[in-house]
Amino acid sequence: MDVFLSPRGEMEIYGWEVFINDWFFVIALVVLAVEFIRYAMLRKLTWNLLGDTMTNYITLGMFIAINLVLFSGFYIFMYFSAAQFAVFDIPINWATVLICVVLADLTYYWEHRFMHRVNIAWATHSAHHSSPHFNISVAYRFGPMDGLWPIFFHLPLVLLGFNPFIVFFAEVFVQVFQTILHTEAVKKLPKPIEAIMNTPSHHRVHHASNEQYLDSNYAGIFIIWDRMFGTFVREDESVVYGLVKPINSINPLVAFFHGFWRTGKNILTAKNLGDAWMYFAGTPDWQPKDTPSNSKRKVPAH
Amino acid sequence: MPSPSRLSFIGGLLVSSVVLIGGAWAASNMTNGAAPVDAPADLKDYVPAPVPNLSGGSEHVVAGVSSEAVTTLPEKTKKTGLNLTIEGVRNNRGRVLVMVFSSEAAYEAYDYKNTVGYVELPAVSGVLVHGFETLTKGPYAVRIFHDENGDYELNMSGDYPLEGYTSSGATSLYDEPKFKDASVGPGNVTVQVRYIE
Repeated sequence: MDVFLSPRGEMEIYGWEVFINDWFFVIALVVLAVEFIRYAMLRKLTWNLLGDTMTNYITLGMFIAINLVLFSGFYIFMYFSAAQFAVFDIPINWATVLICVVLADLTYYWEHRFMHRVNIAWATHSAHHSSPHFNISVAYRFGPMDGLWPIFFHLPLVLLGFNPFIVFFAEVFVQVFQTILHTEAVKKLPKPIEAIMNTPSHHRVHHASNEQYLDSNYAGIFIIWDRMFGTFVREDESVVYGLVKPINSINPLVAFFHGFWRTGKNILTAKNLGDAWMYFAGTPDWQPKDTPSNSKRKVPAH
Repeated sequence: MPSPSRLSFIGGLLVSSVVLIGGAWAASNMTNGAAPVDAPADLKDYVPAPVPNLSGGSEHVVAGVSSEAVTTLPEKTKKTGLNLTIEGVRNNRGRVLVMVFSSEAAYEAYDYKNTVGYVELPAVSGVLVHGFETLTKGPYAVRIFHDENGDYELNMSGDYPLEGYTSSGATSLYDEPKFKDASVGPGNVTVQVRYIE
């Protein structure tokens, strides 16, 4: 137990975070190459898939640029301010890092559910879901404000007393774990794993546009949160990836901004302030009540 | 598509809050030190004073120290050598690093490579005791700091240390005694770790 309990410096944890994040990016490129070979053998390698993959990495570049310019300062300011009001006195060691990863996975669940169920957050997160494909490069497909919302959901961990660097580490760890789930190559894992952990099967369901699969499997590492909170769906029929209303484009700007275009248009053309508010803070499947033409549309907006 | 009820939504938030707070509380107890202990009653009011050298041939009893006071000391501090009592450690995080110098230059330069005694003690809030049995010839100057985050640095914010520190002979937080003033002989020495905030 000494290894787990001996004190660690925050810079050591930060170093591991950078190490894991950077090297995983390289590993993901290798995995992507293997995926492409597999698609080629299955004769499923198309120009659309290649273009879509390029788009994924371009959105990643834009996401990083926006984070550096707009959000990183706010992020650091919020975390280190909150650390001054920490409730518990939590030491830095691998045991507390482990606990923080589990708790960050729980806060990620709620963050992710929020991103799907509130229009203004869905405006950015729908970029990630706008690919009709499913491979590891899709995990790097981000929207413009994807760096903003996680701050509010992980701040409670800092307020509870986890060192900001531990929380950074935990966030990255959850993200990296979820990244490896973006594959069609792994069908189903042994039952005990599928019962507890988030798996490629569970995450395919999350990326589906099939009606029975919508708004499910928000988990990062542990699928138990979805099972506990009533949002779990098992993978049965084959998945159709992407949005209910597909973007039908591999243009990176369309992929990146289409959610804000949709949300902005809805808000600006709303009949009254109440409707505008719902287009801002309501759920993506919300429709104005008094529009007969809309009542025929059964499928949600995303 | 799953459509969890409002009740399960609120229940989920409640359960999550409990898990978060419980987890953070558990994490706050994941320390390398023992459970927090207060100073033993007999140590709290103990005024350090030179004690008779028990192994040496020439015993001399310092006036004012009764033999009862000596026998109430923990076993460790009865031995010969430099016996440190470190007071004021504020929590169980990290380690308390103790450096004993016999050279003035090394002491002034915080030269941790040229110590005659060095020890890392798991931090325990309250009082720590450590005996350097081989340090029988003074004078010594002791520097101590409480490395709360375990990075072996006395972390600073500008000119102000963020972690607790002290030197032997220091009388206040801002006291930086010279070697001469920090000098202590073998025997029982009490130091007080001080923190800025």
